[in-house]
Amino acid sequence: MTKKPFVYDANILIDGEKLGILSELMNCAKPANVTDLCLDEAASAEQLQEEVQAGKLNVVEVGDKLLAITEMDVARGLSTEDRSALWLAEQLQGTLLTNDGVLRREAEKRGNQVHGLLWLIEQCCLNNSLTTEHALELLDEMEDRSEEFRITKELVRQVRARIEAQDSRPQTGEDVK
Amino acid sequence: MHPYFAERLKALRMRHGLSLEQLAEAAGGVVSKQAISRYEKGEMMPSSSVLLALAKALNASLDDFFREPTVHLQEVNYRRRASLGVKRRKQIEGEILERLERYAELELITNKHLPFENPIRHMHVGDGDAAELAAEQLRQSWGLGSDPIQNVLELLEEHGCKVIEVQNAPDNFDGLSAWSDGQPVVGINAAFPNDRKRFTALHELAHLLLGLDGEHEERKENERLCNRFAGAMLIPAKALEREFIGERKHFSMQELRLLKQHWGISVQALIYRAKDVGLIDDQLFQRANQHIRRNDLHRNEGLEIPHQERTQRFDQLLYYGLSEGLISYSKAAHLRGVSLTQLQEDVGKIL
Repeated sequence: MTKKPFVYDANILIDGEKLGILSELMNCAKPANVTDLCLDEAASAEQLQEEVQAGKLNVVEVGDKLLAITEMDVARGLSTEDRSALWLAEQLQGTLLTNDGVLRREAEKRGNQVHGLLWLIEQCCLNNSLTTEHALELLDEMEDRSEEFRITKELVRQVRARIEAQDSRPQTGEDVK
Repeated sequence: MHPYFAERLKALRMRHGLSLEQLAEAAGGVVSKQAISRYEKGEMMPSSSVLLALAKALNASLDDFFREPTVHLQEVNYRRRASLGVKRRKQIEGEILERLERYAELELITNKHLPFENPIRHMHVGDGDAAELAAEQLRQSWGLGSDPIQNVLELLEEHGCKVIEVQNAPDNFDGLSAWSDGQPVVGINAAFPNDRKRFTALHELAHLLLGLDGEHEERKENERLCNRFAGAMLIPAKALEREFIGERKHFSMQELRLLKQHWGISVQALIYRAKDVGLIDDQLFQRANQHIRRNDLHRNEGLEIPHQERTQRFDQLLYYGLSEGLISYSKAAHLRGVSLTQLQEDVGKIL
């Protein structure tokens, strides 16, 4: 069975780098793709280059599709990079991974599957890319810096409760589908 | 072809004062000057990798290449020294245009546009007394009473005037005034001290509101009237009389420094102002100016004012757009001219 690809936007890559879990994310949500425009926007995340070189993050050059991307009929408040992530998710019929509310809303409006970093951490736990203990530490950090991660504390608490509940169940070790 | 790309690329290149060849070089050799020329003629579009290289070379965001050019500058009037060359002026105007375009896009996304109305449009200002009266009327219309203005730049923004602080401007550029599709625009040198920013902004406002820009022979007089208006906005004649305790034969620099701190107006402008409203005679005025020159105070008065002059409306709109879910973080970073990482950190600090 072909697995649905994942498309990362720049925000989630930067957040993943901040938490030091890029590698774990790529092990979990794969195959991982990013447009060259989003990669460039997240370029300050040094660990990213290692993931690219290791072949864990596939960089898709937008190339001559720039025009099509700029002409997408989407909300004005999206950047060219946001559009490129949305475009790639639609091209690959994949799941868009973003921590940006505006991009998320637009993607859902267009019928795309979208998830954020909290969901991803939860999935990492489910397939053992992250230990429960590590995931809970990350959630604590995100709760402390909730504004920076653009999430509500309540949402973090909900995910924490689910992970703690999950911890008592048998684990399958499967990849995210 | 994209409808705006060719024009935008050329405008960005011109703003940086680069030739086609220099841009090709600055882009790291990933594109030839011939190819750039074809992009600018609208004959072809670059690939994404070439666009990224061009954006880096021009210190632009990708969105800057695709934004509709809706903003135009008209009736541009400079407050500058003669040494400010045409090329540098074009670069300054280019930066202001670019910032105005980002501003206009932000207003469009957030649906927050401030209309402008000139409350003194019917006044004819032909001499100093009329300039004084115009300032008095404007202060009244804007509800300022006779108190010091805390933040001139913010005041102008609140009344529909776009204020752009020009970064990395040369020392011989103080400010400019212009119109942009019915909106007044004031550009000022961001590096100047706050008292100079305040005076310059109000001087430029005078050009816009009083409609004084005439031919060569009138220009010097117009500049004087704009200075008079700016001084009267900063410290009204009655307030100055009260502070000076009537006409004077002598005064100390310490008195003027105290007034500077309270009213946010330079010591030099205060001396002119005192002469303009008849509180000191020509002799005292000359003596004070000699003192200023002898002590090199005309270059640096050495005393900062407490008034923090900062434009705020753009950032306010930006954070409003982020909070209300109207604008993505990536878009906000581009409009603000910072990296996405930087914006995320800034938001974390602010909230």
